[in-house]
Amino acid sequence: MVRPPAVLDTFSAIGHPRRRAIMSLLATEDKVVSDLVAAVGVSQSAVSEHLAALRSVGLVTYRKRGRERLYRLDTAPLRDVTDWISTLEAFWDERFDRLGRLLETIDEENGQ
Amino acid sequence: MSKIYRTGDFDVPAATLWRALTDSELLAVWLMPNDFRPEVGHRFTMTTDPAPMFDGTVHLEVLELDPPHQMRWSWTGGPIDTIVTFTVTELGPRSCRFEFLQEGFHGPGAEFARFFLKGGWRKLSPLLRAIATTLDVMERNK
Repeated sequence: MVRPPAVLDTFSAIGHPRRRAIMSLLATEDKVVSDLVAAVGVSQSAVSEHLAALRSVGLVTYRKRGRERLYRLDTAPLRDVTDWISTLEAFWDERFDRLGRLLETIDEENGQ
Repeated sequence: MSKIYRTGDFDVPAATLWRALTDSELLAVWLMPNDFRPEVGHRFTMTTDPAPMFDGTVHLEVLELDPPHQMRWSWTGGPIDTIVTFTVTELGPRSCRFEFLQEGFHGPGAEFARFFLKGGWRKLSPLLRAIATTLDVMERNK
């Protein structure tokens, strides 16, 4: 029995080392579960669970190849993470402009 | 070591800058509405507009207070936990340097956040192999 993946967002998905290992393997080429099981060194159910988690945030997709699923990495959701950091940097730049303007105001109030 | 770092010089007395950093009402003007008090151990929040993976509330604690030179806060907002350090250096009677450092980046996205801050992921999509390599390196360095 495979537990439902307790993954809410891209950050949580990539926060797990085994999931990053799977992403790393898929980054070089598309793979079936058995390839991943052999490379990652954990049980097939564990790999399937991680794949389900990665699929839930769109980091992994699959297509059918015969009876097997061929898994593929999709990096588009990682943009969430880059966007988040860029937003934080932009936030500080904007706030520092405000601080500069505030300091000028305070200085004028002090009559200097 | 990756971090967000900004610095700038202001033509005001260092005491004026320090006041802007440690007065709750002034912080609200330039940074965010808050219930800050200049006391080590004081836990407070700041609020801003929500963003993806961020409900708009930053949870903070005053970790260090060394007036009128340095103040450190823990800063948790969105998916990452960080430490923020403000440093004020007097350059003259009406001149001071402001330094801001946000570092740490603990939490689920921490390793990736650190990596992103190095700028390596800005051209993401064409660099699948680089991602794979880097993930491997990060894994080996654990």
